Order: sequence, then C-alpha cells, then structure tokens
Amino acid sequence: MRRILFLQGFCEEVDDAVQEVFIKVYKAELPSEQVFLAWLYRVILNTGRDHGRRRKTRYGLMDKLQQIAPEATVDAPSGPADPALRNALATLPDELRECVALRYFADLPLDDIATAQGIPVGTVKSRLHAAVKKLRLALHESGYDHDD
Amino acid sequence: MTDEPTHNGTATAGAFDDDRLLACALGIEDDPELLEAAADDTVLAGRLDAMRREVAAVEDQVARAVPAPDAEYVDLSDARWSSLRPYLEPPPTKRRHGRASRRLRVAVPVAALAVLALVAGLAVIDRGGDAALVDAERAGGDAMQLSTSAVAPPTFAEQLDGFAVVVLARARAAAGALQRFAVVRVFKGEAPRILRLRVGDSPATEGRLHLLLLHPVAVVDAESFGTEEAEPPAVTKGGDDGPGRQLVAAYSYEGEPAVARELPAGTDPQSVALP
Repeated sequence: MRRILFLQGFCEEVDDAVQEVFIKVYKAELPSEQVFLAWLYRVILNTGRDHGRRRKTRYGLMDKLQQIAPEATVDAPSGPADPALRNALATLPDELRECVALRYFADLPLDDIATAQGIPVGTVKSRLHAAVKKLRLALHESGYDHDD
Repeated sequence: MTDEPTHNGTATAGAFDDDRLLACALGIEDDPELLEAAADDTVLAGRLDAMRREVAAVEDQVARAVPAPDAEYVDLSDARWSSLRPYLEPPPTKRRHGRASRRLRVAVPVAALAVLALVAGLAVIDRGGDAALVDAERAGGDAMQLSTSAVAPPTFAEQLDGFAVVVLARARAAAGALQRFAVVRVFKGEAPRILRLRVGDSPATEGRLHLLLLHPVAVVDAESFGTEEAEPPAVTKGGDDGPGRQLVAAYSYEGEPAVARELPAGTDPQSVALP
C-alpha cells in the first residue's frame, strides 16, 4: 500500500495517506472475499487521488524519486534504481504509473487491476504495455544491456 | 513467408515486432503463434528471451525506485500512526443480532488485520507464540489463507483438490521478491507459459522443476473467521505423500497463497504423475 501511494506522488505524507486508507476500510461495509483485494486497492488509489486533488500543489514526484535515490533504498533488491528509469517512472501519466504499481507491488492479476482502476481489462493491458515500453526504452537509453 | 530479409535477418521478424514480443513477455497476451514460431526460430527465440529479461529488469528497477520503510515502521505505537489509535482499541462488546451484523463482527477484525499488514509493509503474525515476519504481500496472502485453512487437506490428493491450477514448472532466476517459472506441464486448470510468483526472500532453486499449486478454491464463510480454529498455517500443510518436498516459505501467485513442491534434480517432467 505504502509503495503504491508513494508512486502516486506521496513522500513525507505517505503515512497519513496509509492511515486514511485504514480508517476508510475499517468504516466501510466490506465486500465479498472474492473482490476484497481489488476493492481494497481501489480504496488505496482513490485515497491517493483525493490527496492529490486536496493538496492542490502536487509534490514533484520526479524530485522525490531523485531525493530518495541511493540511501533510502538500502532494503530494495540491491542498490538504487537507474536514474533514467526513475525519471521515466516519475513522468509516466498517473494512470499508467498506478497500473505499474498495482501489477508490480500488489501483484494483482489483470482483472483485479481493472476492477481497482475501474477500467476494462483491455485498457489495463494497453496501459501496462505502454508503461513498460516507456520504462524499457528509458533503460536502453541509459545503456542497459540485458546480457550483463 | 517472404524471402525479403528483415533487420535481423529472419523472415519472421516482421510479423513479430517488439510490441508483440513485449505483450507476450509481460504475460498480457497469450500468443501461441509467437511461441510456436519461436520454437522453430532460434533468432526469434533469442529476441523473446531478451525481451523477457528486459521486462524482468524493468520490474526490478521499479522495485528499487521506491524506498523501503524504516525499521520502526511496524511499531504501531509510533507517533506516525497516531490517527489509528482509536481504531486499534478493543471495540466495546455490544451484542447484536442478525446475520449482517454477525458477518461484520467477524469480518472487520480479519480485514483490519489484513490492512494492518499491508499498512506496515511488514507485519508480525503471532503463530502459537512464534512471531514471524512476513512482507506485505505475504501477509495479504495469509489473510486469504483464512479462507482455506479450515479445509487444509492432510494428504497430497486432498491438497491437490484445494487448488484450481496444478502445473509442473521450472524455476528461473529470482528478481527481487519475484520469481518466474516456465510451465512444462499443466495437470489441472489453465496457466500461462510463464508464471510469476512472489517468493519473498526464499526463492526456489533456479533450474529445478517444481510442482506449483495455484489459486486455492476453498472458501469459508465469514462466520468461520471468528473461530479460534481459523488460525492460518504459514503455508498449506499436508501432502507428505506427494512428489518432491513442499517448500516451507509462503509463496503467493496473483495475490493468493501458492504451494511449491521442489522435485529432485534430474527429474524427467514426463515421469511425474499425480493421483
């Protein structure tokens, strides 16, 4: 949840957003188990979007991603992300970045991403395809070699 | 097929451009035509393999782009979680009747547990006094296991019945907390050629065949959640009479708990038989 909200543009205030999600879920009438995860992630996405609207001035995600660069990612797989990929990630349209977050951080199947984002599965596919294509190109431009 | 050479010297390259390869590597499109062509064309197979590695690299880089939480993140007494305090207090016991209220009474704590685990990114789940750290996704998987634990099968055959998909797959190198498995045989249900499991910090042995049990099918109604017997196991137990050995790490696939059984090295995929 925290990572998804982070990719929605939160940094210092991400904990507030996390708490808001918890309280919403606590107060909500829970859906059936079959749709619980998709519903939960929809709550997360909507919370992130609402925060963005309320704050008026969005934090610059690119700046934030740059700021947290090496030292804050010590527990990430191994080392910080490639700067070109961070830039590409930060400049993705919100809906594409949300799609990437749901796929890679929540590990949701396509139909659950569709439910969470309120869009058809076909749109999820095209968004995911477009997002990864941009990120892949960014890696290439930064000299990524898949034979490394 | 045309004799006109393409940029990489194969006649199939034109039909299978990078966009199509990317869709296949991402797993968003089943593309049997591409896979069949790749089986006969080493150049195309190489391109597809390279695309899969690039997609894995992107995934790995995305994971690195987001900072990990600090060590105090799971401490719910920390000032940062002050807004949650009223909700973490034990609710006043108030006897109400009716199925809806009963469902809420048992479902809310379960949901709160799942959400807390997701909130923390890391959650401590006390299983019989032994605290076990699990990551957020794994905790989500545990929450889902609440629905399966009551029918946890003691034998391998019964264990199989608890899952909609059973495949034989070869483990590939793990990328972060994720690991891909190339499906060799499908025993039950349908599965894509490449599966992506969340394995946390306990990846399966690369190159080894694994029997994967995916998509648990058993569901228990909300009333069962409130019972003490509903305490979830770390992974679905049982199946000692089955092939190979069950890995004890909690794996998940598409947000649901999954079981992986590692088969001995050198196992012939065709020799694996299920009851």
